[in-house]
Amino acid sequence: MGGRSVFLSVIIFVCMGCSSSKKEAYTVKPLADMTEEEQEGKVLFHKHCNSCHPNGTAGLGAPIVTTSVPGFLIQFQIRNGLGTMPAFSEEEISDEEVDKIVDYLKALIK
Amino acid sequence: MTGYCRTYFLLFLIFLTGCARLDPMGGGQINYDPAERQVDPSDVLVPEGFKVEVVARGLTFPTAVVENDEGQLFVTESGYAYGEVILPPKLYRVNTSGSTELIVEGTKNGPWTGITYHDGNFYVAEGGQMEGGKILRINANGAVDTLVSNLPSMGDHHTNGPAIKDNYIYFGQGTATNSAVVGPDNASFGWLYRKPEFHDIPCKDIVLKGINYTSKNPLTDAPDDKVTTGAYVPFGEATRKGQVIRGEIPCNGAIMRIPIDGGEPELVAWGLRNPYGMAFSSLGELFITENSYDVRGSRPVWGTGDVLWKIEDGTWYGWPDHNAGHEISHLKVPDKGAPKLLLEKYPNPPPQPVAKLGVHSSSNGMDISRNANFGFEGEVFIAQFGDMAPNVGKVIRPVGFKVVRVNPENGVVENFAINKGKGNGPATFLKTAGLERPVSVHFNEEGEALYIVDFGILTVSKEEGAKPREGTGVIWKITKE
Repeated sequence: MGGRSVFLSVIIFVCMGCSSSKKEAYTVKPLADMTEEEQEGKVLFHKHCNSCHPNGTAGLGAPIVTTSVPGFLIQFQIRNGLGTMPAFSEEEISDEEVDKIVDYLKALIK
Repeated sequence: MTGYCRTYFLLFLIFLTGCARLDPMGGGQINYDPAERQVDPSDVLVPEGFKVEVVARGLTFPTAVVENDEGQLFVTESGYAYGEVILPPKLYRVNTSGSTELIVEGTKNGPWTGITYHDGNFYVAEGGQMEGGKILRINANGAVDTLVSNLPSMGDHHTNGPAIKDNYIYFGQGTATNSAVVGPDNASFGWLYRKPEFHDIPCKDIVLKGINYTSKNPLTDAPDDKVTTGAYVPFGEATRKGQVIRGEIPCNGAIMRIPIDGGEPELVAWGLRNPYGMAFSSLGELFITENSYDVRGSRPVWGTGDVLWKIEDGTWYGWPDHNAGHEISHLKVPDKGAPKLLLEKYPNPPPQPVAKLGVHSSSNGMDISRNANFGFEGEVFIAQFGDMAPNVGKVIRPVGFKVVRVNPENGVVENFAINKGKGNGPATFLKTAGLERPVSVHFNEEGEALYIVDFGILTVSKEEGAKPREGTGVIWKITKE
């Protein structure tokens, strides 16, 4: 793992750990209130991410909607994986789709 | 150690000591001794405009409800629960007061996992832990006919369903094992001691790669005794590359059907680990929920979510080498590596699912909304029993313990009925009086009320396994206000 990857992984870990005491979100915005990109991101999130992060909260994986991880770090984590989370290749999730997932997560965190 | 690694390690230590809240604590069972169950509808959160009521409480391992032609409600009690609690399964009439009247008591061959009603008769899926699975027909007087028996149901997973369409009874048959290899985990379930020859049966001929696993032998007292076991064979029997395992009907990991008056099973679909919930849409499409792999046994599989499928006749759905349409060989089990694939050739490319559900959520009984007044028409409502961590694998926070709805058009999963309060989990874990372990959901005939069958308290620990508590089951009812 290169130096950049190590650094970003540490930042992600710290962001996730420090924010876990926030109240977990259980009610999400209805699709109709979201932009087209966010709506597409929601569908992609449920296709690729929801099993481990149910509705963005903790499950097998760490919580997302209660963390302070910036968008570029979420993109990094999707591509590189972290801990037990597998990396997702461009064949599995395109760059455009990753951007939409990040848009959706940002909308959830707002 | 390089400079980067050193920095990483130090920062990681800081993270662990300062901010760490990410330790895999498992599901709702760690350091958790449930108090007496309390029941209060106001502790259940549902969308605005819906009302929650309690219909009945004090049931022992209830699994499903159904109504007859007059709208009278009935409930099945399982008769079997993980933890090797074996009781007679029962069918009760549920009065409006919440009291129950016994209609029929079955033999100790539960669990009775599901029920449906058709033309004056009840049809029950008898899980068959002791004698093999059965489909039973029970008339209004409580007389029982067996329509099919000897289903291969004496392992980890049972006979499920049923659902009726065009004078056929459809049912699910779960697999004997987690991932096709009999191992010490099956001794922990209890059945390997009773049925040491039992194993999974494919529905059609398959060819193996000859992957074998060496494990401890719990069937002997010798502490160092080890055996080698392959896929689709009894415990202690190895396989070889190119070995053909002959398919048979009935088989494991399948949807099958029989004529309404009984008869030989026919194959509908296979390659499903534990097809539990089952419902036909208004268009006649068959939807099922599949409980996916656990991190246990000789071939543990990590990180696979439960699945909602729309079933196509004759199709293989990927077990034991896939989850939700993808091979599992890239999913590394922490400290153990990824599972090896078992089959030389796949019967067909596995299809893509309708939706992926929470890993270890135990997404079980389901029904489909068909009333515009209730709302969410065409959406699939699923009861999530909740994780059985740590015995199925660890999770960071409890998973399931609620009812979700799925839009089959886009696979989006939304919470429908969850416990109020901070965090997720069974009510006794959260110290509230809401949902414990929802095991099935059922819309009434008009589709204006959703019943949630709540199995009751069941805790899990590495030391003691599953510990279900009798008399803690509840039936909830959700309607529009």
